[in-house]
Amino acid sequence: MSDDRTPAERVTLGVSTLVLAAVVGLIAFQLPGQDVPPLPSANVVEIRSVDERFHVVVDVTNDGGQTAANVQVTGELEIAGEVSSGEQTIDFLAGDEHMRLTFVFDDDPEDGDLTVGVSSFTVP
Amino acid sequence: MSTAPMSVDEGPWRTEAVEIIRAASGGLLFGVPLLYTMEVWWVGTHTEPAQMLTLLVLLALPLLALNMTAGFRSTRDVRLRDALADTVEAIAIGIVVTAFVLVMLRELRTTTPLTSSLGKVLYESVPFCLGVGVARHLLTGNPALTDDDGGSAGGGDLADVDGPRGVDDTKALDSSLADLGATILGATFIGLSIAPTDEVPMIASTMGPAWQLVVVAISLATSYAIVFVAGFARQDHRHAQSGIFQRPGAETVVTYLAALIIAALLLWVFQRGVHPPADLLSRTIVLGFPAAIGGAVGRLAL
Repeated sequence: MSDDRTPAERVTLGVSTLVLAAVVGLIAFQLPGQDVPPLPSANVVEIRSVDERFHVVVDVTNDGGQTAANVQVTGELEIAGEVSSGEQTIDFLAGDEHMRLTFVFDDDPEDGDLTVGVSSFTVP
Repeated sequence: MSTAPMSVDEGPWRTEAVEIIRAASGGLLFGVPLLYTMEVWWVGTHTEPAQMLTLLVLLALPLLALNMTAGFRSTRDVRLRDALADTVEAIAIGIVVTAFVLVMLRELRTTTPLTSSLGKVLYESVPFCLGVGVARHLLTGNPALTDDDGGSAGGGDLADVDGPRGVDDTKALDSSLADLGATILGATFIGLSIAPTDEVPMIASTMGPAWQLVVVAISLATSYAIVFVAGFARQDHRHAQSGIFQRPGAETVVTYLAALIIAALLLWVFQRGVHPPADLLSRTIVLGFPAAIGGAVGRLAL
């Protein structure tokens, strides 16, 4: 380090080195998890009645290490043999990331069989 | 950097603060369009840690070359160790400010996984850091400029450029109109490439009224920092200007309002969220941040 550096410049360099070291350390900390394949899943967390319709809030998470792309999430409600369904796509879902989706049904899910799940995804 | 001349009236801490603000301003000028690009967010989301480390190394190489020739300091680095130190500082400043802007744009939240956050920040910081590397050269057009020959000259020299301080009303009005015109041109130049994109409504939809006020405050502070603190070209000339809104605070507010109007007009031209009015306001504020930066650059460059 140069001796003619002012105290202010030394502080800047010291803090900058700490920031860079912290970032490199955090990246290195993530290295072991990058080989774990994506494992997206969907679970119902809440059902709300809104204006005589029913909002089914679904939490989609990826328990794997790698990112999942184009995650297709389907929701199906079967009541007395009649099926209504919806489908949504999440562009990218990183490892440990959570995303909230909402499916809207005309009938109360409590009156039938509600199924939500991940139907497909790709690995970018 | 270590040979940077100190102004008589400025201590080393203040000088250092100005250098850091200059670095951040240069980075914003260069990096703001990509900060509003969702594809870069996505690339960051699915980047593996090994790729991130490679990216950091690849970023450091051109930055080192830039710091040997341009850089963000008031004087050009001539020694390798100084250039290396500036490279570390440029990357750190890039990472910190990029993360700050991504938080402001609601792209980084407490729920964002660590790997995604690191990837987004690193990819977004690439153009930002390169902007830091050319911060001094960006608007002065003179990579060899030092504080002695341009940045913080005394007020006496300004009379040669501006004439006597007691200018008449017509000249003051001309000066104010020139600033408005330059703000409009600069805001249009930067805003034009961002206004038609999906990112503006996407970001705006995540912001409540309180968050929008935060964006307004950050936009004003950034505009002020670029024009009146960073020490770019004509900065002292600007401090000495006379006109109907040439005081730094008033000029910052008036030109920010002009940038907001340009942002709203661009959104209207590209049919991006005119209805309902609440949407237009939030989208205008979101686009107003890069437009304010463009306006600030316009006032300095023209």
